[in-house]
Amino acid sequence: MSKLKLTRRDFLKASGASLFLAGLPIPGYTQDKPPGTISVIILEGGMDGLAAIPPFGDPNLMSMRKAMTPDNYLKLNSFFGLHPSFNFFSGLMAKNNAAVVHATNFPYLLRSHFEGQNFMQGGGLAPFSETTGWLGRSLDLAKTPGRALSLDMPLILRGHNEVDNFFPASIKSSSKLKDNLIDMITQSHTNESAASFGKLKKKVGMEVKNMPRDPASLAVYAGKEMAKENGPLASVIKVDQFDTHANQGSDENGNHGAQLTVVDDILKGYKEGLGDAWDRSIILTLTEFGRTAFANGTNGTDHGYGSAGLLAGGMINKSKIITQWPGLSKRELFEERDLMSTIDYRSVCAACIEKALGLDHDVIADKVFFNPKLPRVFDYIFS
Amino acid sequence: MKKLYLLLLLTILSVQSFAGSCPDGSDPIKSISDDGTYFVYKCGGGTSNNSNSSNETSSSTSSTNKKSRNGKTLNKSSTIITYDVEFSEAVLKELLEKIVAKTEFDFSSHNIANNSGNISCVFKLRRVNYDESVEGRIENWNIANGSLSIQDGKVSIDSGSSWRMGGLSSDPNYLQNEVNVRITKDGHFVGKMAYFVLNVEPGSVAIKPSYPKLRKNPKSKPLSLNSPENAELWIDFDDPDEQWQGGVLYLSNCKNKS
Repeated sequence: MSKLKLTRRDFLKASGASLFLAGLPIPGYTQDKPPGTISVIILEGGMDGLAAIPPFGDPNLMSMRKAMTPDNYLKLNSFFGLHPSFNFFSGLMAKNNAAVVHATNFPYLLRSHFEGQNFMQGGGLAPFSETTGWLGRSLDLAKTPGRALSLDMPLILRGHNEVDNFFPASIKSSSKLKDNLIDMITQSHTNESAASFGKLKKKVGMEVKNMPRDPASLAVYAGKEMAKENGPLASVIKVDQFDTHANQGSDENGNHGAQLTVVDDILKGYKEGLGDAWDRSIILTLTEFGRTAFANGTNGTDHGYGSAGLLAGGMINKSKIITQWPGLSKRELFEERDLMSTIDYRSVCAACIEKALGLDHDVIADKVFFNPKLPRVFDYIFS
Repeated sequence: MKKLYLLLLLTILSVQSFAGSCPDGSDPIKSISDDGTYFVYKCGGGTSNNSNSSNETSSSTSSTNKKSRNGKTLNKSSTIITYDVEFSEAVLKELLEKIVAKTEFDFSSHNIANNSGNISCVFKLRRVNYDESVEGRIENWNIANGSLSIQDGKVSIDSGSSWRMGGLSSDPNYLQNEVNVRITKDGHFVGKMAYFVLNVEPGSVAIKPSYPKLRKNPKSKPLSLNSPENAELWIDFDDPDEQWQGGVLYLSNCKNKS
């Protein structure tokens, strides 16, 4: 009898995710090494912030979504709880290394995955208005552009400067990359950059073929790379399947709960991989929109507006929930259906960039998000 | 008659409570402006974009108070509110245990040989199968082999050593970075390490390692630190799902290089 027991949760946890690394300091160009590293976990499909961080203190919550709210949530304080899938994240909360921003999102209102994902990665003033991404532009400003460790670099990491994509770290269909391609790219670089590519070639031949591809293992790998001296300063892991229109479930065994477990495993992987570098790391989640406050007719939720953002890392020194809670009564909901977003999540991204890359908020607001009036929420998160 | 008055009063109160601020008596619908910077309240399908209008309020100027279910006041003001996370001492302890690293091990209760000198050994690790007998049957093939070094009580696996379980085990990283083992003064290995339990054939689903605790085992024949030669260190698993097997770490050709 086989001793391998594979449950549905195990299967989901081992299912696909994509990892992208970027921002290798370039000797002679990067003047001062930024103070930290920044990692983004993109949650595609629209994470349900009301399920992830249930505001059980709001009297309307249970009447509108009892079937979506876990009974066994962890009580964080007198108003908010934490979904039981966040096993590791709860430990980070206890260690004062995690925070939540609630009732937040990018100011995108039209509930299209396609547009919303482009908007949250581009960070411009409208979907498809930018050909670069907010993280890539930030790395440009920190003078650590490019060197994205992937073949199909996502919009979020694209910077204005020309970028070299060279590494099939864990990207599907990239295992056919040949040594001669890496040689060719190596020849276009000099000194230490070329040496880095040389090391990479060695890795492609050695470890990568046996590298696990599940999201948690990718996070461990990313963390280890980022922990290295002159390793990448930024990473992005994409996870999908948050679009739970039917049978969303409530607890850790439900469809949405299983995806939250994946997020939890990724955070755990980052912590493990980063090791001591955890102390100078910040990790944040990003989703294109939240989900409707009311359950739909198929025990699911539909595309909404406001959601919650999870923050973790050693750069956070006090766990807390940060919000301007809008309420859940019908008139308090956005268009009478969605959690209102009262905090512009671009401000949260800007605060994380400011902390990790050491850039000035006004510069980030102007040059990264093209909105000089973007509020600064840095002190709410990091002080 | 009193009942009629009461009914009339309740009716009036009810009408009052449902009355909204819109001219037609309906509730305004909350929305946000096109640029996403302020709230807009729509009445009867019409929209006003004048931020100074009484029917809309900028997010930076709205201010109301509301009682939460447990009676705590939730201040919806222009400023963002931070809610501290509050755990009881018992819950805090339980939560903190969740973020311990896989190979983290508390050596404080063990008498570690911090002055062990510099010892090198050849090692081979074999699986003990308890499926067939309580005593266990030592399988006649190595699941890992190579050499190790012991310096100041810390055990590290030398490069070139390898697991032979296929799949992820061929990544040397596990032996280099995921071994947190010390030697005690009486020659036992204690600590935690990545340990591959099952063999994985090429093309099969990868299986992550287990992280058993290495402790003093009564079946072990420990290493003499004064005259290191050979040792036989038995490993048992705590996880009930994995107790069908165990391991024996054989050390041989040990030499004190210091």
